[in-house]
Amino acid sequence: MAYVMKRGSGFTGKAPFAQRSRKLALGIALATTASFGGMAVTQYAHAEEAPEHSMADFVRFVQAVLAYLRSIGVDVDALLAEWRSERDGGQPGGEDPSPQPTPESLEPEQVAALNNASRFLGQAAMGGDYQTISEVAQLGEAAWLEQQFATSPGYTMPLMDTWRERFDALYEGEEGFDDDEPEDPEEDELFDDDVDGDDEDPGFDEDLDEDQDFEEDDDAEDDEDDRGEEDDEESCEREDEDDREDSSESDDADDEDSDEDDESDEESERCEGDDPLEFEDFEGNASDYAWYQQVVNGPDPVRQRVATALSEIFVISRTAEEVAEHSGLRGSYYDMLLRHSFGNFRNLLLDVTLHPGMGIYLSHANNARSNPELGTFPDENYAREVMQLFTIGLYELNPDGSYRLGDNNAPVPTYDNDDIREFAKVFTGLTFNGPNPLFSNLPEPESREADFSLPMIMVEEYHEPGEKFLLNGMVVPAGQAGMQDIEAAVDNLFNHPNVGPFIGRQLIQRLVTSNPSPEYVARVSAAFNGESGSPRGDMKAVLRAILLDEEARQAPELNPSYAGRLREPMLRHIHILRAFGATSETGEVVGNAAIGEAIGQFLLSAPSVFNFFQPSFSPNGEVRDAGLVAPEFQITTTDSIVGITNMSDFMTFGEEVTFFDGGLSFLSRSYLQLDEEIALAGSASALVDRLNIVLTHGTLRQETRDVIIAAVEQLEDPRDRVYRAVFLITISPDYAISL
Amino acid sequence: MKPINLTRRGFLKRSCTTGLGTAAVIGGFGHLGAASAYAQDDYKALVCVLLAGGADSFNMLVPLGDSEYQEYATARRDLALARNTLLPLSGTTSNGKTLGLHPSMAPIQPLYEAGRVAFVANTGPLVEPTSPDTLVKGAAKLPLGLYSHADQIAHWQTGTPDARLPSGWGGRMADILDYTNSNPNISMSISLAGTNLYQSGSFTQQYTVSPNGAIAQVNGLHGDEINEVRADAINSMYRNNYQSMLRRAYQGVFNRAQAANAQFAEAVGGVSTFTTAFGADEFGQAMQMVARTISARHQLGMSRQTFLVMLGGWDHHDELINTQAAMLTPLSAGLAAFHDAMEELGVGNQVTTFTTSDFARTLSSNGRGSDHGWGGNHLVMGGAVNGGRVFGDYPDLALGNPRDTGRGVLLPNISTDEYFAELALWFGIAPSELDIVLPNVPRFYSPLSGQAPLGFMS
Repeated sequence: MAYVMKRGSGFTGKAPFAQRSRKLALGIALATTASFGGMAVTQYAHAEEAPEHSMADFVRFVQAVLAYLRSIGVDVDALLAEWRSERDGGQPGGEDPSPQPTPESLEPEQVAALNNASRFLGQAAMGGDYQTISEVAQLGEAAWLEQQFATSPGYTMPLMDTWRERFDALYEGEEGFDDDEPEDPEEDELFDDDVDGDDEDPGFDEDLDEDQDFEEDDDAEDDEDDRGEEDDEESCEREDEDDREDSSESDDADDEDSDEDDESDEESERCEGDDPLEFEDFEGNASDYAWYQQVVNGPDPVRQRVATALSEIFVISRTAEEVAEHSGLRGSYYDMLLRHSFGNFRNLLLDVTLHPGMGIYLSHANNARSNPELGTFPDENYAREVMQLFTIGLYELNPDGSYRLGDNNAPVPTYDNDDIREFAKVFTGLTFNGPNPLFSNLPEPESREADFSLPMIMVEEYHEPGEKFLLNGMVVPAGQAGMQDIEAAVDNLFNHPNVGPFIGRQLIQRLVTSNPSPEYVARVSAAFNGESGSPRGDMKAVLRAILLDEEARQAPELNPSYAGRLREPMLRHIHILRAFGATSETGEVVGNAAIGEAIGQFLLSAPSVFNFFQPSFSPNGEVRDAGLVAPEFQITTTDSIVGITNMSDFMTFGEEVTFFDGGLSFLSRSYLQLDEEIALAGSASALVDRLNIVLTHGTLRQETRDVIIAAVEQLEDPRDRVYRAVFLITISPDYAISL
Repeated sequence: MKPINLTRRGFLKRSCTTGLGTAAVIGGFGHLGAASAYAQDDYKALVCVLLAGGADSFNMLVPLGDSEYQEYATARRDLALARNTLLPLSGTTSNGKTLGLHPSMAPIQPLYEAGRVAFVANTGPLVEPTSPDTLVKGAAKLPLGLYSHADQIAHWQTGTPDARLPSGWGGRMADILDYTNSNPNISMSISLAGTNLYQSGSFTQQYTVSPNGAIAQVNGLHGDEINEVRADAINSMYRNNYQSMLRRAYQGVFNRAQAANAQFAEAVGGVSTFTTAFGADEFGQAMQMVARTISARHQLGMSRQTFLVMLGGWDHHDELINTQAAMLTPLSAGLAAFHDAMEELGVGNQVTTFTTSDFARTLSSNGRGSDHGWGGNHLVMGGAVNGGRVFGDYPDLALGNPRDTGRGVLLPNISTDEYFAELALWFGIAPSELDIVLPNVPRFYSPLSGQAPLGFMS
């Protein structure tokens, strides 16, 4: 829902984004109008009215060309084989990797350990590749989790700054390319050095400054660029050709038939930095690029997973224009969530409250005290949502998440409208920090030079004076500083007994299962409440309780028929990228929100503060009839399920896999590393069994496995075999539902 | 927010749907559409045309009277249209003004004169009744994110400018009325503009087709040879009898998507062509797709449908004069063609089309165009419309008048609640259920008063 505006690209003024979106949409449309073999799908009768969407015509064209080439004696099959060997990143030697142990050569206990580790990584870390799975299996889930707790955050803002520098260098002239250093995987280590893991600081500016420091120590800047200026000039001359390629389908055929064209396409993109629109595109989307790189390649996948889950509880969204336009605002917000992911919930809540992104989204930025003369009252938006959605929910809960029943066995409301008004008074007087702070609710942000990376500041004159009556009898005395009031309100909510079960259950749902048992919720609540010896609100204790609980760790087949959760569409994408070590020429994996249009979900883009889906959502049919929930089904529609399925198709086609579509000139296309799988592909069953560990932690149903093996055996080329197997597994119901 | 009170009928409908849906997936679908709760001639459709970007509607509906035109020309300066190019509309507004249409809206003029088109003047999202006086004093509660595209589009779609609701008023209408339709696979809410908030309901989802009518289908080939093998494998997997309830549920959505897409394509592909010609432009094609879908209403088993069509590119911060003229031409032609096609189908009185837009624009010029505003003028079209009239007071356009909140950003006279309430009541929402669809409506209009909110629907 967040994307409908982007489709109306006429007013976004972001041509590159719009072009890419259109191109993605075109790609999807292309394939969607393609004939579909034995499927009982009737071709829409009017596809021919939109010739640019006719994949069938394209295929016929390619076939005609191939037939012609064969007729004049060209060894088309040899050419195709050569192309296959070099596409998908053109890794030399890709056909001859060192042999890997196949699942068939493993003992059953070893396979079981790998499956458990794979499942754990799917819950805790958006998945992992075979090597990571093996490491976790060796080390044990609990020990690996502790290692992750000790790993420093991979923030997005420093990455955005690094890229911005590269971007600026492009504008400054040719010498700028010298700084256009491809990122090394070692870059990630840089993030480790400068962060103290301190989650206790209630402000978020200092930590950010600290993180930004690392760039000055970055010796990578001194490195030589291995791509020379000559190349750049040469490629610029070929720009026209490449533009033509982008605008024409039949030229895409050339693209497929010749790796040379692939290269020129890539080179030419460096010249597109001349387009001033690119800058706007970069500033609007950089946080999305950075998120991809960190979640796919960062050293801290558990922290990234938790922050992403938190972004679906403490929702801000680019449905608010300022959130959409300022990727720095989103990046800063996400980094704030990262910082607190292993910290304390109380500090998380305070920083969420003070973040300008939240201030904009729930309108408590520039929320003024009441004015009896004018008859005005404080805005109640944040006051309501911080209680309903961020901390305690609507009704009093038992520690196991069930409603505490009052008179007449009715649920007991946690607050009423009077409480909302009292909390609304607390959240007054905040405005954006920056060189020229200006308390005003008129929409003229350019005059206030707000710095969205800094917490909001209190302007006492606009803060509601007087006592405030909070929950459970707590009274904030008159005459305090405004920020003291806010801290008191945060403490009041943080100490409410509902927070443990309310937040704990949602985190279980995001990470492990849609329908946790009451006992499981109670164990997590106990951890939140400090009963395991950690302080109240300690996120590490909560995460240990969630991820190491017997209900999360016991073998899936022991679970009842309703176990597991539907994978979120955007996390499917990340999971597949991580499962096959996605990388690129520069080592960076960059994606953007365009994918969200096809699959119906993207980070910080929920349609409302109620997230993409609600914790209580239950799809029609037996799930609802059984009294169970499956929140992710709320965004799994007859429309998005097609986009989700086609995403797997596009990822197994040999083209770039993040739908970045070339994107910005200084960031490169991503591909999957499939060498190990290709080495196994001679045996379809060995291949599928390996993928069953990596993708579905051994839960591929026997019938599904048989069907896929049979379909894979129809192909000869090892890479095609891998692609087909990955495609079929990742579109299967077995993969969709992670048991 | 009031909890949506749909449980009883919603549940009945859902139970019914579940049964049919299962049968349809297992046994194929062939005999749907026979059991509609409404007679076939009870059909009604509501077509929302979203002019995304904020259409400058004070250049679409312009005052012609001597002094009023002078005020307009003074306020708009280089953005003012020449008086002698405007297409005069007969009659006067409730506050005694005569108006003319933008010259590029020529196809709309005869429809207005024939009583098929009405305008609603200066309407926009309001949280509560807001007078210029309360605004000046700062006492008014204002919409979230006023003047921002994304926020204001959301306001027009949710009907709740004071809250970020996850559902829209079209979707909430579908929650109430979906039981009248007999098709378990295809929603009564059909979007030609992607997934959107307007048609998101609590229980109902939207069915999306691309503006040119292409229907999302699972890719069949790429890289591999054209193959039935892969397709057969997919079919086999989706016929598996899974032990996991959630896997079965996912299977169900996938199979419904396949069934719905096939059924929709077949139904809409099978309708006879119109004598009325639609333009080859994006909007013309989208409106033709709506017309075709309405034409297939019996095959689809629909007695109530909403459509969302989007035409973007109205954010004319610059090049207002030329670009707006160039865009109004296909807009007007597409609307007129759609009107004629509905007459041709014999459902002219059963289909109502209305426009929405983020906001109108500043009356004052930025030298090349206009900037984000608030209240604007909108068009309603169809045989059930009390056409040939302009509803609501057409505002004074002199800069600095009491409704001018700055630079000619006009405080709306009429809330979108009133505008939408009129449409919802016509569509079949009972007065007692109106506040489910439009939670804020009681602040502006008493649903049980027996009076029409604005009176533009007969």
